[in-house]
Amino acid sequence: MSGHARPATRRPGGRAGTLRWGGALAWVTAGAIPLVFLGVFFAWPVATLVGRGFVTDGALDLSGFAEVFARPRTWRIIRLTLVQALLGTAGSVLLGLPGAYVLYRRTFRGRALVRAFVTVPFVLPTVVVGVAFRSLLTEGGPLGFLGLDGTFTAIVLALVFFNYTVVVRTVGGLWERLDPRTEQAARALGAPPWRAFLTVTLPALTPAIVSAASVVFLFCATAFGVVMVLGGTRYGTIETEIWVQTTQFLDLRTAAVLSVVQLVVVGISLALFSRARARRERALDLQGARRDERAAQRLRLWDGRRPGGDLFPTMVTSAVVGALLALPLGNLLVRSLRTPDGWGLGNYAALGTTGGDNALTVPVWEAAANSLRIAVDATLLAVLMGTLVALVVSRRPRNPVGRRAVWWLDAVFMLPLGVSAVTVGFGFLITLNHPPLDLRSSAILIPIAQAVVAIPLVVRTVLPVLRAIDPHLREAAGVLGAAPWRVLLTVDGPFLIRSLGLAIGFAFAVSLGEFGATSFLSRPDRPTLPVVIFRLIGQPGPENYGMALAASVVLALLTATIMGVAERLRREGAGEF
Amino acid sequence: MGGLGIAGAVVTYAGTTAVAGVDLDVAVGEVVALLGPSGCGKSSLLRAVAGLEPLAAGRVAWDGADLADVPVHRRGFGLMFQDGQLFTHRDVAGNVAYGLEMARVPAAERRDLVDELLELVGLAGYQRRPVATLSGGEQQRVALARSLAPRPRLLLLDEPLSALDRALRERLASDLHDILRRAGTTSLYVTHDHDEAFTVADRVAVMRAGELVQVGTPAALWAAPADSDVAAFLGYRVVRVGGGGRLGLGPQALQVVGVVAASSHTPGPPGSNDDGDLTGRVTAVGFSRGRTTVTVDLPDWGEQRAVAAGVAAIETGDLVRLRLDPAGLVDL
Repeated sequence: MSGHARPATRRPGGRAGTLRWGGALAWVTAGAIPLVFLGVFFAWPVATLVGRGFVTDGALDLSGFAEVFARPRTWRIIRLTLVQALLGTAGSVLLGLPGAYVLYRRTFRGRALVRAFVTVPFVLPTVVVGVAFRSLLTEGGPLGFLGLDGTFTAIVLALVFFNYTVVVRTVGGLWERLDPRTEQAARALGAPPWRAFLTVTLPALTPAIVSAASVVFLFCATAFGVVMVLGGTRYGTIETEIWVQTTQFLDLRTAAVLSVVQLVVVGISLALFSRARARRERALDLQGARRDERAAQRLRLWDGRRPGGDLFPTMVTSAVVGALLALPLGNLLVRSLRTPDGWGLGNYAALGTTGGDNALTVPVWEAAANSLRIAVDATLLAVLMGTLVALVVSRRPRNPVGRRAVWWLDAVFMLPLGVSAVTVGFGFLITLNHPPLDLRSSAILIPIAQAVVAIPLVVRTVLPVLRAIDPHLREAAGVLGAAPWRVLLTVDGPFLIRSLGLAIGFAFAVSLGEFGATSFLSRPDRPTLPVVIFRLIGQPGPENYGMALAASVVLALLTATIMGVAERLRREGAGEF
Repeated sequence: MGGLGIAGAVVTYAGTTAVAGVDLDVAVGEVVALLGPSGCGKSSLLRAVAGLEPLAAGRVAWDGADLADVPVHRRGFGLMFQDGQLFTHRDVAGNVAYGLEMARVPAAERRDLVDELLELVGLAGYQRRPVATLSGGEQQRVALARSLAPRPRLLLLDEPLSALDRALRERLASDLHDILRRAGTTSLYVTHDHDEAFTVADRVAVMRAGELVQVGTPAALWAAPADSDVAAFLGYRVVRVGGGGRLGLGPQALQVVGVVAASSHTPGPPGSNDDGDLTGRVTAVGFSRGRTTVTVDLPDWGEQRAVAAGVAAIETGDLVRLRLDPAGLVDL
């Protein structure tokens, strides 16, 4: 890990040797701190939970596997998870491609606004999305006549709603920077527009599409909040099943087996993700077009009197943005203003109470305050750890051992992205409740769990920016006399700070909306907003339902505002999502 | 008449006019270079001919037929960019065959044509090579073969050699000249390098600020540049002479004929003597392409380059006598 031996040529040998080892030691330490954090607060709880399933009376016992796999229920859940994730991914990609084209390859009035709006669903808390879709599809809702409430279709639609953005942004980001002249060369060689797209543009976009698809698949396969709210008892994923098995049936062995199954699914997706990313980073060095040639062209719907090439993608995108994205959100807002006594802010006023029949232990506003306090702590932790990881992983050590270490660190910190948050939460409960670490009653437990979930997003936001720094910049600084730590401060530092705004926004949004782990760890006297919403929606009575809608709007506005601010701090090339 | 006809072509980008009414004809089999400094609109004109930019006014026609309604892929024009724009997901043969696939040429015939074209551009045997492993010059040769493969009725080349280093550029320019003629391809060649334009083209059209200023064969252009700007762009050093006239000094126009005084002697004043020769002080001595060249400071013209053929031992500071070679200069 000593890519920083540059002063060796300028200083006396002995000093250079010390510096070299000092530098390496600093990097190893920087990598070790987050590793220890992840070990204690992720690997240990998860391993302990999984171990519960396989170890009976101190001996390895794999009979759990046979038993769990013998049940038709298990297979049904696995099938449901995979089918739902595949459909959600296919829908997101098929709808997202025209969206990426229209929003990143073409310009039109109001494009910035549409782009910002499209981002909203991705940062919305899962519980809010569930509630929004339910209030749209429920009997008596605007789309109640479709009879989709509580169906598999509703879940898949909600998943597409969520992940559309991921595809649009990941693919659009690359598409925007593709040199249009390659496609023009194909056109000049006689390819009609659609063939030029299929034979030239699509292959160039493939790494980004694969990358987006695997992330979406991951999100869909581990979906929790949406499925909990929309699926009821009929539909579930491995993730919700782990929750059901642990909290309803208290069957730890089954939960552990399911955790392992999920780990395998996640592991495969992550491997694909990582390979696609490597290809993508290679594919990105290709541009050289002049600005005017690269600039997005105006949207042209009509070519004279014939329909132009942009008409179809524009229609698809309008339909998605209008019907799939705007309708549930608009409906949520409108319905939150409807009380049993007519229209008004009654539901919002009720947020100061504990609901009908005292459904809650604390008023909703207090839960919101809890959420914010927890989010601050979780963000601090996640950004600190994530930045350390990104800094270490962005190094390019000269020796192979260092390079391998860096590669592994990168891969390991992607794991929490896919490991069931429910598993993490439950793992915390059974490992951190006794010495050496008894944090059961500590207020820090929830922020730590949320930070574990948010770290991969922070890393993925900061790392591309640091990796994009031309190594020559660092070398130039070194040759000009900057010691390694000053290179870090003066070259990496400014880039890092620019990407940090978005990272903070992501971490905060993730924390505010986190439901999987928090649903285990939150204590009755100190619930968070998503926990309260989920509880309200499960209670009878129109007041409680109205409050759930109002609280969802509040949570959505909070997250959207924070992401909006963070987005303003975003610079070109920051982040992958 | 046959071939390409451009009449009154205007191209605008968001309010600014890149091409302001250009008329130009390219006969079948002819190679015409569009020469001009960067930003003069030559690339925009080329893109308009290809159909990649809409014309704000005027027309582009082939054999007299207006092309306004013909989309890029039906024009039958080839296009070659500065940086090749090879398809990185295809190998060399896959790139060259692309246009043939679009034209539905049968596979066997396609293979033969690819072999033939790679032979033509000097890359025989490169079929299976991934394009990323090629050098810049080789990539441009592949791009050329790819453009030539569907036998375009017109080949448009947009600064195809600009990304290459000087030696390669000179060699490839003369290769291009031969290949285009062997293939009999009508071509419009955009460049900012006058040497390149003179090497490749039958006729050169000089463009400035969106307009054509002069069109002619390289020899005609060199012999009589339209004005001092064109002369300067073609490589002349423009100097003022008595009576308000201007003279374009070619690279060989000033020749050192002798040393008047070595730097160690007391110098006499520089200037003209009775024979019409000039005297000037040497400020730098260089050696370029096998010849000694000197930079001399002349009283009225400032620092100019001169060739010192056959005069040995010139040093910085020497006062030298120079003669103007009438064949190497133009009166503007």
